[in-house]
Amino acid sequence: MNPGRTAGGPPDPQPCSHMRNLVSSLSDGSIGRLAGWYTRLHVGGCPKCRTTLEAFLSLRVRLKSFELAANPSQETSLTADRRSNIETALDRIEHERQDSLS
Amino acid sequence: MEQSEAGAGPKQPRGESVRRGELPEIEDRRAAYSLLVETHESTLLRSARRMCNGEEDLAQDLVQDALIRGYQVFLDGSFREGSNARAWLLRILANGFINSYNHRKKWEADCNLDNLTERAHVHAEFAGDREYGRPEESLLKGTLDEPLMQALASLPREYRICVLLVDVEGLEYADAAAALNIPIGTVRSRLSRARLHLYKLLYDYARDRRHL
Repeated sequence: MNPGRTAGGPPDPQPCSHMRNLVSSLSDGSIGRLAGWYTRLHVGGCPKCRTTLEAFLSLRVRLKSFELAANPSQETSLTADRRSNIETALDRIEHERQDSLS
Repeated sequence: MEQSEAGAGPKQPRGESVRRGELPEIEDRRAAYSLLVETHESTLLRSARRMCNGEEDLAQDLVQDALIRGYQVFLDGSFREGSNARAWLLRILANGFINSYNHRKKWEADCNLDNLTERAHVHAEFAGDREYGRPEESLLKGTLDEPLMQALASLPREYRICVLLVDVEGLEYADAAAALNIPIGTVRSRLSRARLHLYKLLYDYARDRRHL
């Protein structure tokens, strides 16, 4: 049986314990050259880690598509009172700076 | 304890402190900062909502405080034109999120995701988390990818924020580490654990609904 698959065939990512961070880093490209080479070599011969890499890659695509997804019912800007609070705070910061410089 | 301000600052060395005659007039600085705010406000708000599990008031407060803090740092000259303003503001936002939470509850430094092997356990752990919302009630209303939102909301916040900063917002590990005031290796480890957990939750969700 494929170690990376359950009896019914679905993916069940269970990477080798020492490879988990490496496979994760390979999936997002944050891995160094030598570590990347080693991880790709390992993944090529290890069904469990290959399944995990596939899982991470698919998850990454889904999370990335999530970046711009927004609830259409929610405002995309701050409320008026928050804006007012910010303007007041920025004025205060400027005055404090000018006072400290004078 | 407060996180260090270094977590909110950019990578560049701080060599441009405000001194008389060295920087443009403060009105120009204010205008430049306002432009940054206008450009990135919606991104910050969207990210804050995810950090706060959809609690609108908390998210708005978080962005407000981040933009105020950001202006202080901006006037210090720690932000350089041409650098990644979005990443810089997200770092301040994430740093504020952590500091805000630390005011309410001691940071759970040794949270162990390995113990959270079943969704029921995860939900049970966070059923009492009132400070950053109730996912079932606030986060899921009208979202475009409810299973993903639910899975994200079930993660311990230390793990969730790593996923949000790196996988959703696209920050580099170094930026996420600086924002969270943790080593890069910790970001890497939390990400791998969180990704495994997320994938399993999403798979269970699809299987339960016979999508698989």
